[in-house]
Amino acid sequence: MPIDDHNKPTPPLSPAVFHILLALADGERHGYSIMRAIESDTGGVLKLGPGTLYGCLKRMLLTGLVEECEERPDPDLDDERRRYYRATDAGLRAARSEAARLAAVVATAQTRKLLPRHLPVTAGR
Amino acid sequence: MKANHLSIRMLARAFDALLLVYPKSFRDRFGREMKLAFIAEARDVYRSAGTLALVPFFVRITIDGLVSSGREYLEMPQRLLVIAMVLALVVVDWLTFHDIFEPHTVRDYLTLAASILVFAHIALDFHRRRIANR
Repeated sequence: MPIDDHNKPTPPLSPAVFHILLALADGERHGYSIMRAIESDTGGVLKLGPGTLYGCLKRMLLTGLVEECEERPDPDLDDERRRYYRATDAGLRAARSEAARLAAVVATAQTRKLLPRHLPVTAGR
Repeated sequence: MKANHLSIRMLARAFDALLLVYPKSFRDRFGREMKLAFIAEARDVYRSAGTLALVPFFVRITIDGLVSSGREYLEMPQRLLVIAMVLALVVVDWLTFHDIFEPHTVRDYLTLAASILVFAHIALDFHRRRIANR
């Protein structure tokens, strides 16, 4: 893989894909855990149903943004039928790129006085 | 994880029926996990807000299922359409240019140029879809 590709901006992500990658940024999770993390991250504004979640995961597996985990984080405490997913390096890179893009949008909105300069950082707002 | 309340067991049956809307390949790969996630969420909704809250919950899940399954179906014919288009254009170009000594008109060259543009578009689209793998 060429080194230059790491700095190359990735195409914008859909909100669902971006939030799935955010949920997976701190480690592997199973489907329902991803759904709960997204609901918590967005203060209940974004609620993914199983259809949307697994449709996105299918496409993200195909494009290499996420991968299925071979090992289970804690097999004794969990339902063995669950599959765990984690973000790949490409997925984390795409999430970083999207976060930077959104930060630039916020900065533009602040410049044009659509948002206050010191925006309180609160999940779900 | 078991659906241990009657209303949740009934919803789990209804969700099984909803899963039938999805293409078989998708259902075989993700159906079991989707049902696990559905039952877990239904149990949380039941615990936090009671039986009545399961009604709007299931309406939301049904709408989500219908929309997302539609998207899965839309992706299937796109692949078939691309294959059919490439084959059709290869045949058209071969019929147009199979005799290279035959004089060709501007229309023949326009057909070839249009084919090349379509092939390039398909190749670029293919490349973009796999950009994350690089």
